[in-house]
Amino acid sequence: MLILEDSANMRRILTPLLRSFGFEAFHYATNSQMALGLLRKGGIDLSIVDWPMKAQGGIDFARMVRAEKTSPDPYLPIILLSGFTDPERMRIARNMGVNEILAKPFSPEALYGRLTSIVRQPRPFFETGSYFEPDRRTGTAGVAVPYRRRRDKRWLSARKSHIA
Amino acid sequence: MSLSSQHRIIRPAKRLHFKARDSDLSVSQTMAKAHRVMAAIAKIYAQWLSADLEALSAIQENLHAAPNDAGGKRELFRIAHEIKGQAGGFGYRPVAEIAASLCQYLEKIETLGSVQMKIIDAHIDAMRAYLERSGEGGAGDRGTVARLAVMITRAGTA
Repeated sequence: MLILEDSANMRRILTPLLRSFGFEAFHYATNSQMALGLLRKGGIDLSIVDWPMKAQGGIDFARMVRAEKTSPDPYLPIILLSGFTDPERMRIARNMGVNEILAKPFSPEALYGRLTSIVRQPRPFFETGSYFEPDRRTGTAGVAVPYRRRRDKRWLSARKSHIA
Repeated sequence: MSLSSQHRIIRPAKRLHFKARDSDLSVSQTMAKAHRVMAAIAKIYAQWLSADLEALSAIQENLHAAPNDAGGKRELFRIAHEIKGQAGGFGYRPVAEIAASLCQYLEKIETLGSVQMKIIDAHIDAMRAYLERSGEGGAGDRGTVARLAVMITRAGTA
């Protein structure tokens, strides 16, 4: 487990919490270059990164992992912890290829949920010439959901017959 | 070549799935364990918060002397942002709300003058006062954020 987080307090919160979930080995970085160096050494299967307060934070790391040709692990699962939840920053995070986003402050349940989703239902990746990132859609992996949209006439009719 | 023939869907190996050991604990037992961890941190969080507020006060003092120090303003934002992201999880929700208000305000203003410093001071004082009161077992002042918002509006930057 790689934790890219420049806040010592947040590292002190995350480590025992993740340990209580059963994670054992932790690698810490305070900037993206350091994190990439640790990733190159191997033995990292998952990363939790923060929204950058300075240059070379989690978003920079996600970009390097997903987009650089020399990336040691383009499929590395990345969970972004962020105190910013505005749509623009969330769009940037998705564009940089983070798998999951978790707003701070977070509950143990929320963190556990993101981790479980990454372990049990890892998102597939889409790749075109200029685009490479995890599938942004949620809730459909391995589950038959015939009519997801409320505007879908079939959904409305199914709901109507259910109520009747 | 059409776009559909150019794109690829890749399903990476479920490496974590294979590595994850089946725990002897149920999900509810795991959550109970995690909540015990959070409760242990909550017991010492007041010390962390106090240290963060001290750091904020030191920067605040420097900014009064040199209001155009961009580094000082950035550091003020960084610490306030950290408080915003942590305090709510450990029983200091009003402090997190005040810190969020400070972050929002710092993002809006470009220069620091006496009016802006007054608003920054009010935020830091409010957080400090809440921490002192909560140490004495007092209730939080939920109206503080609203009062700070009025102050910001009157200053003309909201």
